[in-house]
Amino acid sequence: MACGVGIGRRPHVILSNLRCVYQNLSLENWLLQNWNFARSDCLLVYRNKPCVVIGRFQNPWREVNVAEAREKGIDIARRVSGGGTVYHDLGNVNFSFFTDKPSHCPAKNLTFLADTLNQWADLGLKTNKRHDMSIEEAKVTGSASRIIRTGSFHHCTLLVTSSLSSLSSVLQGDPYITTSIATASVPSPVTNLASHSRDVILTPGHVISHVTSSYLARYDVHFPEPELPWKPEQDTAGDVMVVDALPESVDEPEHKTWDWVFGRTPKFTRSFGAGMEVMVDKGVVVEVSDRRLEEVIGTPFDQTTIQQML
Amino acid sequence: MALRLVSRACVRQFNTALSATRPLSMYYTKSHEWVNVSGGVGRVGITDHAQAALGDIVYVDLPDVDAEFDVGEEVSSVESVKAVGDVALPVSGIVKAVNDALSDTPTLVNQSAEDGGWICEIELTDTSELDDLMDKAAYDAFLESE
Repeated sequence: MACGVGIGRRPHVILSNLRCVYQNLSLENWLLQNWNFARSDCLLVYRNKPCVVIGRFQNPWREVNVAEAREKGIDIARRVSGGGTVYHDLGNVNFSFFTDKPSHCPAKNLTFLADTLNQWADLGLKTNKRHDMSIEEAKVTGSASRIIRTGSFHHCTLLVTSSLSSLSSVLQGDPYITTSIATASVPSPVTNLASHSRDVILTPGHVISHVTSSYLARYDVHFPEPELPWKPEQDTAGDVMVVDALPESVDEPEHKTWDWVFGRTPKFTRSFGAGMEVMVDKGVVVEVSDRRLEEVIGTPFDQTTIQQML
Repeated sequence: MALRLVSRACVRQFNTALSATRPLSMYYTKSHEWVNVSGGVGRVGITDHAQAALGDIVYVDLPDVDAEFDVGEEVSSVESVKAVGDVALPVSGIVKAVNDALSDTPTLVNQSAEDGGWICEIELTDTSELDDLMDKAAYDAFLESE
């Protein structure tokens, strides 16, 4: 697989001013389906207000305390790429590198990020084969990718000034899910970039500015006019576009629906003690072990409701 | 060892269930899927080249039985340690069976992509679409040129 920057390709940077995770994920997926990969690469940058994002084939009930997330107004979203569960807030920056399939190379993207940030703020960032970026033994990024017939993206989180401890209870999933074929998260120690910088004040805004300038500087061809089906507000530098609203054709509701977030959950079983359990498929209860629970068959899984019946 | 025996038994059963008088034919797509056809029924999966490129597979999203798809439509998604990728249907068809073994053992696709790691079986709705696919020799030549 080629790991060099495409010669003669032109880059674009898209800065999203949207702060809703459902809107940003919809924008990202829409770009994947509609971007002109033949001529240009793209770096999409976005930040979300507090939310939890699970991987494509994960179980939200196993990864997240769903009831607590709802109470606290923390959105739960499912992305189209794989990997584990991550927490986003405005102190975390998401970078999404769009390229055609032959140029898809997460390792190159992470090396680029590490070099750019190390040169600027002397952070001692290192990358590894699992596509992690770390300072000493603590991770500052999580990566995942999505590849379709016409193109691909590799996206990663970058912890700059994220509130690391505030959501630890929301990320405590349901321990009574006994069997599950969903993909699991691998917890790791994490750290913010800002805590490791001595001379430079690191904010998400500064990081975005440095990384995007550095990204554009890697390419040898630049054109003043972007080639998009919609015209977001354009920055003075023609390669950078700012998105304040979703294009009309972006299907925002899909990422927000119960069917996508919960209904795409692989089969699992949840135990209620004393040999009582329910089997859930596509987010709906399909089988129960006790007659007292029969009336929940065919309904969306809700642990609190079932607990109250017993 | 047991895995090998199971997969051979699956293929033998598949062969018998379909027309025994016509030879099985493997067809390949440029996006590295295969369909193994006999009569109007085909078994679908990804090629060995595809599984090697994906790396260790951790999840295979199986389609619903009786779902109908057009040629080129996404019939399954596969998550590996590297990425989530699509499996496009090589020819139009209606899903008649899925390989449930992949739910517990998605790595079957890595171990035996073109045999025991099959993803679904379809009833073809337009056998003329097979003319657009490659046979093994053409696919191997295509891989050389990539």
